[in-house]
This record gives sequence, C-alpha cells and structure tokens, in this order.
Amino acid sequence: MSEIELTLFFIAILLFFLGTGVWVGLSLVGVAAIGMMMFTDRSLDHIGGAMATTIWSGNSSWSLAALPMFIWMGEILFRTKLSENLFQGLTPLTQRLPGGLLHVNIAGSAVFAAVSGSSAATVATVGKMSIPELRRREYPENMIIGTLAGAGTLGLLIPPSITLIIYGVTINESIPKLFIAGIIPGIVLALMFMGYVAIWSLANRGAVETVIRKYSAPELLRALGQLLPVVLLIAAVMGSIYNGVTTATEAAVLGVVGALVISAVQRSLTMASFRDALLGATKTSAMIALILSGSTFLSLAMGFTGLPRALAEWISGMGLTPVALIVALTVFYIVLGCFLDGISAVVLTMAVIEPLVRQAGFDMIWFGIYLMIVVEMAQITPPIGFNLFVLQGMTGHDMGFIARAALPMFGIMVLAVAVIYMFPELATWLPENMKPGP
Amino acid sequence: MTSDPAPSRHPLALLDRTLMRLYAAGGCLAAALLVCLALLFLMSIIGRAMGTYIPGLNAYAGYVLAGCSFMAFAYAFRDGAHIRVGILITRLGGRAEFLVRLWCQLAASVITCYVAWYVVRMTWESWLLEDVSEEIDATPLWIPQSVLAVGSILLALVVVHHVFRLLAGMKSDAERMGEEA
Repeated sequence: MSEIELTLFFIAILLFFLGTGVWVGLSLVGVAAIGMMMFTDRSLDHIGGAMATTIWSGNSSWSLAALPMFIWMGEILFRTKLSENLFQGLTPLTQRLPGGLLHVNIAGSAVFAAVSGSSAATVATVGKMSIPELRRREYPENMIIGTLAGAGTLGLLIPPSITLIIYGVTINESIPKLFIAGIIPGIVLALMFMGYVAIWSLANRGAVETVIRKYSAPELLRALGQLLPVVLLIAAVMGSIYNGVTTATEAAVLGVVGALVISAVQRSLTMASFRDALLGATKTSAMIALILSGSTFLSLAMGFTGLPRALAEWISGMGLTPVALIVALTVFYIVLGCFLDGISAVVLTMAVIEPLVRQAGFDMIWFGIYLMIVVEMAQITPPIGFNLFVLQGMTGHDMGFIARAALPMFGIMVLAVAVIYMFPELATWLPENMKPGP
Repeated sequence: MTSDPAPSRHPLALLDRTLMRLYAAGGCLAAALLVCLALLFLMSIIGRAMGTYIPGLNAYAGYVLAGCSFMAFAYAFRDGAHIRVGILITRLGGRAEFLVRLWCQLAASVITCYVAWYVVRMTWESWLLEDVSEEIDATPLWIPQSVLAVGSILLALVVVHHVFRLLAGMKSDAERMGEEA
C-alpha cells in the first residue's frame, strides 16, 4: 500500500474503534499500537515496551496534578449552597437590565466558571437554582435553556479550565499563562451573551415579566454578601496564580481548602458529602487520565509515522492564508465535536495540529484560547454535547428542543471566534504582563 | 452496581460481588492517594512560605498522581465513568446492539490485557535493573510502578469480567456512556 492509502486505512481504523463505542482512552491505545505496527517494522513486543514507559512518564508528571485538584474543588462546591448564593446575590444586580433575570444564568455561569473547570458542572450548578426560579417567573423556556447551555460553556474558557490544562500539558505550554489568557476572552464572551439577551428582550417586549423587587439597604447588603464566599475564592485562586505566588496546582489545592471551608461554614460539609465529592473527583480524574494515557501513546506513535509533519507540510504547501486556516480548523473542530467530547477532541488532534499551527506562525497561548471557544461550541451541538446531556437530565426536554434553544448562542460563539481573531491582544495582553511563577 | 433483591449464594454470583468490591476498594485507595496529593502540595506551599525547600516533592507528587489514576481506572469503569461514543450503541437494539457491545468489550479486553502485561513487565525490569528516578528523590522506580501494575491488572480484570457479565445478560453500570462527566 502507498503512504496515502496506509494513512487513510489508519484513520478508518481509528474511526471504527471510536464510532463503534470502544472507550475513547482504550481506543487510542489500541489504534496507536496498530499504527506503529503498520508504519514501522517494530514488533508488538517492542511497541508494548515503548507504550509502558510512555504511559508511565505521561501519568507521573506532577504538572497534571492540577487536574484532579480542580475537579475535586468543583465537586465540593457543587455540594454547597453556592448555586443559591449566586442566584440571590446576582438578582439585585441584573433585574433592571433588559432581559431581567435571564442575565443571572450568564453572570452566574461566568462567576461559577471561575471556580470550576468543567462546563457540564457549571451548567448543573447554576441551573439547579435558576431553572426552577426562572420558570416560576414565567420566562420563556427556550431562553432559560439557551442562555444556560451557552453560558455554561464559559466553564472551559474562564480559568480554571480542565480542557485548558490538558491543552497546556499536551503541547508543553505554561498553564498559568493559559489560565490568565482566558480571563478577558471569557468576560467578552459573557458580555456578548448578555448583549444578545438584552437585544432579544428589547425586540420581544412583554416576553418577560417586569416585576422589580425593591431592596432595602440592609436587604441589598445581605443579598450581595452572598456573593462574598465565591468572590474570595476566585481572588485567592486566580490572584495567587497571577501574582506568581503559587503554581497552578498549588492554587488548585488552595481552592480545595477554600471550598472545604465554604462548605463547612455553610454547614453542607458532612461525612457523606465529603466522601461523595472525593469519590466523584477520583472517578472523573481517572476517566481523564485514561484518555491522556491513550493520547500520549498515540502522539508517540504518530511521531514515528511522520504523519503530523507530512500533513503540516501539505497544508503549508497549499498556501492558505491564516484566515482560511482558522476557518478550516473551526469547521473541522465543530464537525469533530459532533461526535467527540472536548477533551478527547483536543488530545486526539494536537499531535497533528500543533506542528501545523506553529508552522503557520500562530501564538500557541492565543491558539489555546481559540481552541477552547471552538471546543465549547461542540459542547452545545448535537448529537454529542455534554451541556445538552446535562440540560436534558435537568429539564426533561428532548435533545432537539435544547439544541434549537442553544442555536443563537452557537452563533454568538462563532462571532466570538472572529472577535478574538481580529483582536488577539484580548488573549495575549494579560499573560504578557503577569509575574512569573515560583 | 446491580444488586439483586436477594443476593444469590451461587459461587459465580459470589465471585462477581467480590470482584465488584475489589474495584471499589481500588477506588477508595485512589481517593486516599488524592488526599495525600493535596497534602503534599499544601506542604510545598507552607514550606515555601517558611522559606524551606522540600526536595523531591514534585517527583513524589507525580508518583502519587499516577497511582491515584491507575488505582481508580477499574472503579471508574465499573461505574461507567469512562467516556465512549454512544451514537451507534444507543440507536441499535436487540441482537445488533449485543454484538456491538460484545465487540467493544472484547477489543477493550485485548487492549487492557496488553497494557497490563507490559506495565507489569516494565515494573519487573525496573526491579531487576534497580532503576532509580533521575530526579533528586532517587526513588527505586519499581515501588511507584508496582502501584500502576496493580491498577492496570485491575483494569484488565474489570473489563474481562464485564465480558462475562454481558454474556450472562447482566445489566452493568459500566455500559453507561460516561455522558454525565
């Protein structure tokens, strides 16, 4: 077989494993071994030895420790009264805006995203309180669900972000820098979502109730005070990274301690909630570690095949402009995201995409932020979209309804990609001005 | 976990329950390692605040992390936490679904056994050759690697175990698509 036929055959095998439902991490291991057999003369025995050492060094890298820590922190916070606090605290701030309390969905997601690394967890935590409350106030169902699905994706963009850590580890970029780079684009995207809600509400007057709750000064203080725990936690975690006081992992451990303190103060910390949070974090971390094991081995195998370099040369030989390349990659990731979750999509493609993007001269920090937005879009596109699954479980609507409700948000995210392409400083300015870590 | 109303005393059912508990025990050990990991990093923060440097902490953190992941693999599999693409399986039904599930389970069995074999062999070789860490801690590598060896054996065991559960027509949490992650 020629090189091209061999490559196509290899991709077909990969798609077969993934498509039939073999667990993603295991598929990557199996396909990497097959690939090394096809493209090199190594024996299965030789490949197994290389696999074991790769899996060992890939899993025992301390920089990965930020992952389970941030996951654990999110699991603890999910079991506190934080979703109530967010709703009560944001109500006086947003009720006068056009679109009213729909903004709580967006602002609440943005705030919770700053202490959680996963967009599914963000949707679940914010929605737990806001879905029943907004329904009681008779907001249109498609707007409740759409804003929540869209804004929940901020969990990936606003640090800490699990997917961003994985991106950083995969391509060897500074995780603190990536985190700090996500802050401004995250806020911009949140404002764009809010702008959409405002425009929608001005265009559909009467669609939302306009009852405005009057707050006396002490009531207002008490409501805003509910935001205090989460604000302090954000300041402690992000502040210590930005000022170079701690590494990302150490900041995550501070976050775990802070989350436990909040949970204890609010009397949500019980033996049972501690155990559930810990075991939940252990399982989710194991799931991610298995995918990462597979992908480090696949990257090694891909290196042997020479595919990434060949592809990068082929693409650069086409003489695409940077805009065309970004458009092509965006379409590629959205299609891929229809079938794969964000983490799998990132680890599966980076071995091939990284040389290509470097060759095209993109800043890898900027590209990470771009990638988060694109992968986030995949979280709200059917048939596989984790935010859609979460909302399906929470609201009982079918996938089609939820996906349609989320469609405008998808459009806004396409716009956001264009915005950060035109103004890359949005992502690169803060990291260039932060203090180096310890 | 699928618990029958009245637990069967059949030896195979007993074996099934024992194995399921074994995976959970691995998960509990992994959870304990996760707590250790947090404590290690707390030590590093406090140490730096007091101006002392604790050598080798990062290397130890790496070993604990790897051990934590591997000991939890089987437990996460048992509870259906590992991600897979469910498009085909959830749309099929009856015999076709059974066959696709069987293929997935068999492919996973081959892959996990392959991984387990070579991780065990790597640990064995580290022991024979007395490999030590290249970092400042100079830990004999077979010690942390043997946790991975146990974890990868557990993973192979849980996957092969579920081939038999599938053939026996038992419902397993492992069949979920990991979609709540």
